[in-house]
Amino acid sequence: MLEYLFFFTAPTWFSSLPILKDYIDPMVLDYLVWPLVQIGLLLFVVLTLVAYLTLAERKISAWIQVRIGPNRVGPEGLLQPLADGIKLLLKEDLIPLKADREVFIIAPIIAMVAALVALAVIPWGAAWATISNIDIGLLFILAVSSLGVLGIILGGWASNSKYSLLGALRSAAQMVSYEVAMGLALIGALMFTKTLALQDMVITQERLHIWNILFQPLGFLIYLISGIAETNRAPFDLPEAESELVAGYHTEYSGFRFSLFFIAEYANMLIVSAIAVTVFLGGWYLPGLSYLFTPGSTFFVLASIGVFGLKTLALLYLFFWIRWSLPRYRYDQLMELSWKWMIPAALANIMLTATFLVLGQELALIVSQNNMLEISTLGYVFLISTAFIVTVPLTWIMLGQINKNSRDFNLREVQPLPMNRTINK
Amino acid sequence: MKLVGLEAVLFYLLAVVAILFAIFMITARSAVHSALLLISTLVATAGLYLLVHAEFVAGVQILIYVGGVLVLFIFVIMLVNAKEEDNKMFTRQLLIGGALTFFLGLGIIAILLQTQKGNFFTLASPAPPKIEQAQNNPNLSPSHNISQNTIKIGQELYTKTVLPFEIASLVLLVAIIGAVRLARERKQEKIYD
Repeated sequence: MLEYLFFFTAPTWFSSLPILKDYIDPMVLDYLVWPLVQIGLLLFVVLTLVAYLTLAERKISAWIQVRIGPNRVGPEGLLQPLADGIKLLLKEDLIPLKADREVFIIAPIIAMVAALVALAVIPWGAAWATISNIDIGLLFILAVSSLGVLGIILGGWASNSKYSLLGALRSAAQMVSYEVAMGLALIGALMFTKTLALQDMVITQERLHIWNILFQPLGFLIYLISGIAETNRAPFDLPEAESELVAGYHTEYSGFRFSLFFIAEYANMLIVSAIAVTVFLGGWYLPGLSYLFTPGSTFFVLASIGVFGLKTLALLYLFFWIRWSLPRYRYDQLMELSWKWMIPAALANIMLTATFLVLGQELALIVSQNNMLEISTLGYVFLISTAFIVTVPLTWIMLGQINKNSRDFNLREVQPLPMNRTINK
Repeated sequence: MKLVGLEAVLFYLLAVVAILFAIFMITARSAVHSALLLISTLVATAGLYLLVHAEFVAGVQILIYVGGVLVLFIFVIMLVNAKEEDNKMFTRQLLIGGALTFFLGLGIIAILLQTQKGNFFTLASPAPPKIEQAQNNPNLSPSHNISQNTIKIGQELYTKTVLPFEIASLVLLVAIIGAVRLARERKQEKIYD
């Protein structure tokens, strides 16, 4: 059972630690102690990172708006997350009198657990840096992250407040809609990696010496937009639109329960960017890394963790950048963007990618064997050029034509809206 | 496959959790509580699927039932704002319901006795299927050596069971079109255009 979950046995430097070697059975060490050490390390790193992401967000927003940002606590404000955490812990834990007590307590826990469980299967680096490489990796992450929405809905409902309920309803509709687009956007990349196991996806990209984004520019774009919407961030932060809903689903939450929601949101952001890096940006694979260090050595693994971290942080920076640059969408625009643009575009991407893959196989540029792809040099040129020259423009033009008469999202020139938008019969 | 060690512990844990939450779900007063408990039951069932190495089914169970269907359930419950039921637990349906449940239980036990002849407390489960070529290929990472269930299901769906699969998709498509038709009438379409 445990062997089945954890294949990456402990590295030699760990299993030869003096105390461990003498007193613990090697089987127990590999399959019980080492995973627990990994989980503990991961939780520590991720939760610290999440705390510092809040600081990063405030600093970056300050730079973008030509302010200074937090700079009082510690040098350059570096201890600000600690101060925030202590403040949240010491705050009064308030449960509204008319709230549904049990559900109110459970909701933030569901959100938090759903966010943290998904961390288990992400390939943080080569070999032993991954905790578990299960066969259904990507499906597991999609499944678990779809649980996160439950925390938000239940929290909003249990608060027994109209703002919370409206925020929860909006968030449920939004997350269910964008989940579809997100799942469909990943399928194109799956055709190249031919596996759902995330570590195997990275290994496939390493074997083909390519990042999937070159084959799947449209898929990456759709995934990124849906990912931002899925994590309820601006410009899609309708569930917590301050000007309309106070704070959306967590209006009634205070103190540590509020911070659980907050941590879950940032952890979800981290997961979305980690998946984008794994599936589209080559994971821990960087061309030339295997020349610098021998694959499998401790330094190689550490370098791969660094590469993965840098890519993820770059995407997170993009998230912050987008949040502080773009205004919020209207709700009908948000829904239209999902159902009339993202989902059809993802479907078109699947169809076109499959067509070009089959075409490439017919032209003998690509060989699919043993459940693996072999691509010749001309095959790379063929796949990349068709992706950029055919798939993206074709989908763009097609959807522009289909949505020509759409009121909210179209590619026509902007016309001033009539002052009175009520429908005349 | 006899249930031993960790697997036995997990099986009994998940089975008890699933049954207990199913009972709580039926007896819960508030509709949202019922939905929440149903989610717990479904997650526990997904865990049972994992135990018999049906990872794909487990993942899809959570993705579709918990992430999709039940989110919509809760959505609807919240929209119609269902009131809590009154506390009267024993109504006149009790006798009929009890009788039905009794016979259903008898039937399930009879089937269990038939299929599990001799060894009642064992779980009939085949070892996870493996593909030989994957084992001989050193390039593949460990997960390919463990389970090929996902690949198998994909191959079955697109070869042997392609007709039922397509019919199911068609039924869903009809349902979607019907829902859209019900929600938006011709007149409305005209106004929108």
